[in-house]
Amino acid sequence: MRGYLLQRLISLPLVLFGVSIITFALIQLVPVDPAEVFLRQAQVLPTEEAVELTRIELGLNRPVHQQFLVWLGGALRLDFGKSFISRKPAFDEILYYFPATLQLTAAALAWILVISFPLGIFGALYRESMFDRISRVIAYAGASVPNFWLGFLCIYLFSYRLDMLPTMGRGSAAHLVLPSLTLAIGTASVYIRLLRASMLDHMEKDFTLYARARGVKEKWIIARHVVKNALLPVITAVGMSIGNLLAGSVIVENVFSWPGVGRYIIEAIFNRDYPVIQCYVLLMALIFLGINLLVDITYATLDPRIRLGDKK
Amino acid sequence: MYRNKNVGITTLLCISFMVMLTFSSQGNAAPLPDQSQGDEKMIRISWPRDMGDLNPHLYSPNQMFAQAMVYEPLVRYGIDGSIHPHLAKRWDISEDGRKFTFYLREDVEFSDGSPFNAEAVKMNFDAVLNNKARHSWMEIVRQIDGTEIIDEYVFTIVFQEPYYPALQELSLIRPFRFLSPAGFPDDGDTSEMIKKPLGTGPWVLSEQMSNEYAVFERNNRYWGEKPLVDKVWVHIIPDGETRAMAFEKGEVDMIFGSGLISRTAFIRLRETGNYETAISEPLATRFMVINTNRFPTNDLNVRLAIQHALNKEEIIGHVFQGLELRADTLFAENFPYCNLGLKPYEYDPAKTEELLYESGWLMDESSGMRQKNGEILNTDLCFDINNEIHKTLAEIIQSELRKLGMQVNLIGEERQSYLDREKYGSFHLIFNNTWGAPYDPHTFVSSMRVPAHADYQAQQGLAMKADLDRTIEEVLLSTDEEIRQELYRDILSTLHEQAVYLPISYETNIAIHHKNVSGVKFATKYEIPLSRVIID
Amino acid sequence: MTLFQSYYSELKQRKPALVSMVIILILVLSALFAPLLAPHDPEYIELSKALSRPQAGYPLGADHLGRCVFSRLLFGARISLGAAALVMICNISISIAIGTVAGYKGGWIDEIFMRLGDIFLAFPNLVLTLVIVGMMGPGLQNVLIAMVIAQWAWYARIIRGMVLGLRESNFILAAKVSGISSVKIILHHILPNIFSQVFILATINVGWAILHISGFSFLGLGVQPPAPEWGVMLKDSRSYFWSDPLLMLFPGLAISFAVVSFNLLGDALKEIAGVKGNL
Repeated sequence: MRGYLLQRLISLPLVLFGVSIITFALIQLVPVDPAEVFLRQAQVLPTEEAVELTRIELGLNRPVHQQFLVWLGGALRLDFGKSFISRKPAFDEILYYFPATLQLTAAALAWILVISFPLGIFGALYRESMFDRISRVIAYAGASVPNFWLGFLCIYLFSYRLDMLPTMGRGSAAHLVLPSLTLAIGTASVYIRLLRASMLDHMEKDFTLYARARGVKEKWIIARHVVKNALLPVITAVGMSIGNLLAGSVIVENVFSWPGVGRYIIEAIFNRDYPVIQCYVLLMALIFLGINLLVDITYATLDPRIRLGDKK
Repeated sequence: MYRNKNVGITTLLCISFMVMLTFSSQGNAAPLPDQSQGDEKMIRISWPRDMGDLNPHLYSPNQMFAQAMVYEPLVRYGIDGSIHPHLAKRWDISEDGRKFTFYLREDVEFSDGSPFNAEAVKMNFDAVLNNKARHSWMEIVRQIDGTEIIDEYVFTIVFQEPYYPALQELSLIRPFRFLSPAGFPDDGDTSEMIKKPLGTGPWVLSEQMSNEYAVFERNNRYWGEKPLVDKVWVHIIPDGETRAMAFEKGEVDMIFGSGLISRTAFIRLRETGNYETAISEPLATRFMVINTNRFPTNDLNVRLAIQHALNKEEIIGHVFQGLELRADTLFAENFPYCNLGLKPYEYDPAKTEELLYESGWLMDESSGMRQKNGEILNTDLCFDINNEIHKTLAEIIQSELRKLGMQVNLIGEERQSYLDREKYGSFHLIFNNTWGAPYDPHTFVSSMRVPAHADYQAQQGLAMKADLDRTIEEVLLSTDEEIRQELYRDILSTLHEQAVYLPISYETNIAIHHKNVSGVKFATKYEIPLSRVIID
Repeated sequence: MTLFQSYYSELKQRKPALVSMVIILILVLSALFAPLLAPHDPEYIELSKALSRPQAGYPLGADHLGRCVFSRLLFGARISLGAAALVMICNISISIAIGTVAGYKGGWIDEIFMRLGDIFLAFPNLVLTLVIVGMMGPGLQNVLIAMVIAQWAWYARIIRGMVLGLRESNFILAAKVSGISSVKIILHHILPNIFSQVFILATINVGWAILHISGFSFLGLGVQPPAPEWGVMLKDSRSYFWSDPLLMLFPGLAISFAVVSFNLLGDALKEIAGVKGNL
């Protein structure tokens, strides 16, 4: 595992470089001339001259490899160019909306733990009981319902019919409940299943049987050995899912008018605000990489089998 | 046991970190405004997009209604098309029609206390004219020869030629409105950004969270009638259904505008009887452009056939449910110079079949489509995919024309590609709107000469396009009312006879508010007149 | 075909899996025979029937333009399931090609593909898909291309893992020793042996693909009107939720049922195959 971590750290610069190449290359997929988009967003008639001038201004007249180096140099200084729409630095724009998305993600993570732990653990302990059956139904349903649909049903039921929660927007803690829950359901369902399977697995393990044979109380066995060991892979998996939650917030933010990065990026996509899109994708990749690395390191330090240099 | 402790601690740490995060970000989020704390009166409205930084000299992302709340023009446009004094109390026009002298009000201050005078006016004009490329769609920017400060409160504009719509264009919401000298960036260039949105208008922007809300307060230095409520809270809600629900739950006091909520939502809310609702007079025209420059719509018969093929009454009744009325001419007859008595194209499927038959498009029974020389009668209908009304109309028109053997391909694209199609004329049919008062008809007609507009592209196939452009040029520079009327008749009846435009409906604004709100009136398509609104 | 027979006899024991198999079968059949089953042309607009309740000729009622909801659901199954299947097929075939070659050959080829994969896997999957669609412009075709670009690395890695496990097994080593060419070994020995695992992998992820495709349609980036895709139908019916909640119910249920069936079936197959770990 040490070796594996080391290998990952060594390949990190390579991955980062590759990530930046892909991010940069995305603009090549654009079917129209970015210079023209820029002009149109500025409400300037895209005449031949104006387009030519803008191409020079944006550096689009240079050979691609030079464009890339300039772009990369900027990206290293967190300068991704200015948003075509607001004319503010793209990075500042993303940063402005980021706290709202982070808040949503954090709340969703909390939901995931609150939902999946009890359902997963007790589902395994009382296997094939009514509780287990219900929790498995929830797990399957939660993973299969499109979350934009679920979000709307939630709004209809909880805020419109029952008048318990606000319909949209950000503000008090009450505003957070529905969006974060909607965001959490899909991932939570996966972990209910994962945790249950992991629990069942550990309940059959040697050390559990051994402890049982020693006459250790069942409650203790479950608490000390099974639950704690079963949690390990789940916690790391939860950590890994943070990146996907951040990304998954796109749909939820649009359903609930949540003023975060997800809603902003959809707007940017429809406006063809390329600098913002590039900044977003690169930042997301960095966050994702960072979290995954962190999770790996945590996993390595937590699990003694790995710590002691067990082969992967 | 060591590892188990670690797992527990890590879990606890993770959870507490998340709880902290969840509640810590609460700090920067504003508390939701509850109605009237204390004596303060506030009205809460909703808008789909962020206000932008309210630069009076720029376009999107700045929202027009908000710009109009903060900034004011020299002259104001009346509902009947007449021009009234505003920041200029009167004006003279020289004999040759080239020099306009404006006498400014002397009792006006910007909201920061700086005086409004000829110097401030000149500063704003300079900033706008420095950025000519961006305003080139407006003829006036090309026509201005120079501006001059005559006296502290006297200001002149000299035009290259006598330009009749000058006053109308000066009344527009942008770009000729006035930013306080204190709001200018240090280099005086407003083409990128401004320091602070300070105007002379009845409202002052007091707080703004991008994509969340904006708050306007009454301008206590306002020279005219001051607003009756203290604050306007604009809630940014992108989605119409959510907006309707927020309104119903009392999170929003009023919805005002066009396309902010769906027609069904409006009708449902109206039918509850719990709210006050109103629909404005026609403000602009929704229409479909038929390209004269591409096969097969380059054939007048095909264009006429399309005009006769649609049962507009039924379609409009269905789509707009009485919120918008059927349009038969490019501009409504109550617009200046537009009362021409043009004969509408009536719904007449038999006529369609006759016209198509005449042009050699014969029904192929096996495919149900009309063909000529083995080619199917095929057209592309292009629209903005995010425009709900475009989408619905497009789907209906496709289905209706298909019933008469015309194949229509729907090309719904995001706004940018849709505009590209307009620019390059790569469409047979495309939706568009006139711009309403005070742009119609002169600014709109003027833009027909600009290649980047759908109108220009669609008219390219007309034999008389060159003449048409010359007539438009003439009408804008004509000084004689009667000649001007005749020229307009010429332009508009040519376009009507050539069936370039298929007018659909007259756009309206809707207003819906709770019963404690009163004093709601309509103005132009772009404004929300909030000054006279009262809330109890 | 003994493989399928053994799977089938196991499947028969599991009720949920059996039910989901039936649902999938029904969905697939209705997609295939949509033109025969549908009472109307899914794009035919009859304004006078708009928003009508279920009635004769319109078993599930009509939408806001008077189009038959039932017919649209049937034809929608073609697009929703077809697109998901297409994505799966593309992904799996690309990944099999890369995964088997990389896994079997090892060495620098493996290194190149896996490092390249690392780079693609550094992006959250949905983000990469979203951004590629954002750059190329909306449309079903672009969504499908984007999904393949964003996901191939993930599948390739799993398939490589499967191949790696096989490479050291006795019968492959024996084949190698007897001088059979690499191509033949891959085609005749490796592929047939990973086939069932790959099939399970695909089954589990079809549901996920259906969800994503409809999600993109819902955001306005995917399938374009008037095509009757389920996500589009949901998006369209939002405005009519108050007066006609049924309009939103049917496509939502269709998506949910399809996805849950694939998930259940996939899990059951996985259990039967005794495959452990992250599939």
